[in-house]
Amino acid sequence: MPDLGLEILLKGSNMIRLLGGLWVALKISLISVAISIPIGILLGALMTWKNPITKIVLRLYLEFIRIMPQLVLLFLVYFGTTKAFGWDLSGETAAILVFTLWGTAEMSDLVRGALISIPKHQYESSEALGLSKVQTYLYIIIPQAVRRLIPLSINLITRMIKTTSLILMIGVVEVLKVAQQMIEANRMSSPNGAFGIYLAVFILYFIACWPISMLAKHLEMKWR
Amino acid sequence: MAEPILTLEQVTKKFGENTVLDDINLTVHQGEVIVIVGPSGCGKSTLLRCINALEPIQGGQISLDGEKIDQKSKSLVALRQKIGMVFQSYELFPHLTVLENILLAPTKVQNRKKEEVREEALALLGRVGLIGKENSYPRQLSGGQKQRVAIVRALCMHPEILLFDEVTAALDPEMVREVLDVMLNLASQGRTMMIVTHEMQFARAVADRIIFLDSGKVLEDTQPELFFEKPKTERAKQFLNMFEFHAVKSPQAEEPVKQNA
Repeated sequence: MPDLGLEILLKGSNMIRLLGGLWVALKISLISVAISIPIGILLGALMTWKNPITKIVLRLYLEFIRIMPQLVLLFLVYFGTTKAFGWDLSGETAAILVFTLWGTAEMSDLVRGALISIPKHQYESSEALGLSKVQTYLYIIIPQAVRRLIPLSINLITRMIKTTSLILMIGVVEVLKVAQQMIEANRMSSPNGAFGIYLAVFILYFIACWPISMLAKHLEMKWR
Repeated sequence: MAEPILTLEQVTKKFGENTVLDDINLTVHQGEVIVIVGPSGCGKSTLLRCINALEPIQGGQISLDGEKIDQKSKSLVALRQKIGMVFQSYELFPHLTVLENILLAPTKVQNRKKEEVREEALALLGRVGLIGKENSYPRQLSGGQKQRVAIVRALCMHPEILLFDEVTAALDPEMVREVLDVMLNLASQGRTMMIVTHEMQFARAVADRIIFLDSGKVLEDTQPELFFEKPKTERAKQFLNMFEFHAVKSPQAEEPVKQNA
């Protein structure tokens, strides 16, 4: 069996360090998700309004965030705004900020899509039964929209978790950065370490995202 | 004659420049069954939708029990509870079971006790032949079953008047009957109903009055026998003729062709 450098993982507290890195990545992504979802839902609902100004503003926001690569956004916030406005941002805060802006934009578009996919007749049939606008949204439209949203937003959440691999570029020590440090430190003793360590990183990302995917599948089946 | 419960006075409805309903005057009395017929696009469905304020009207007035129906009025929710509407495409709520579909409005809008409504709903489901379906989801039902659930859903609100908008138009022929039977049954109980339909035989059987609409105008408002036997207007005659079929082959042509052995 070729030397995969897996023994590095067992050295010292390396495994714990790697898990710590995963925790940093998960913390940043999950905090961003937790903020993005409610704001995204709100903005998504606003996007279905007929007011042209809200429409244009939200559209611009969405397109801006979508067109910019996440890495550029991270640089813009971490290096750009700190210089320009002279404030002090830690890498983690900058990452959470960028991921929240991104998640909110994507989420709002998903919500908008889900809301407009509910047929007009569902609103009418609800109103014909005497339900008020608020009740119509509460009991008819939102529950159906949520069911359509689940698979899409789970996809977004896993994408956000995976994209945290970029934040090492603004100096946040997350799982990938820890892995690089380990490989670097053991370059002499285990020259093949890169394979084993990155394999471990792969497995860690998998363990983080797999249950979320499963949950989505389960909910989809349940609400089919 | 019984009390008038619904009156339409000079109702005009426009979609942009296009006048869909033109000066409609109509009175519906307690217990009356009114069937509205007419060619496609004559405004039949729009008329029902205006009565329920799903469409705003541009002129005239619609009132129920003397109270004006207006899209902007505060009492609209209260008025709508008195009007039950059944749509062509059923429009059950797909994420709710049959029973939840039926209970939603009575419990949330009318704040009635769940147990009491449940009992009533189950009894009504039994009457329309849907015992045991209360926990099914709409997707598990046939079109005819869904439409009967939609009727029960409307009935559970105790409406004063029921509006049926081409409720059998989306159904397979063998399911049309089961829905029409439910409606005939309701008519025999003295329910006030307005029915838009293309089922002429049914219209004749169920109606107290036939309204013939064409290009947004009421051309005839008469008893069913008169309408089907002696329509007054040329348009109504043409319309009724569309439902007649004449043999297209002459008797000779129908003889089997002799074959040379």
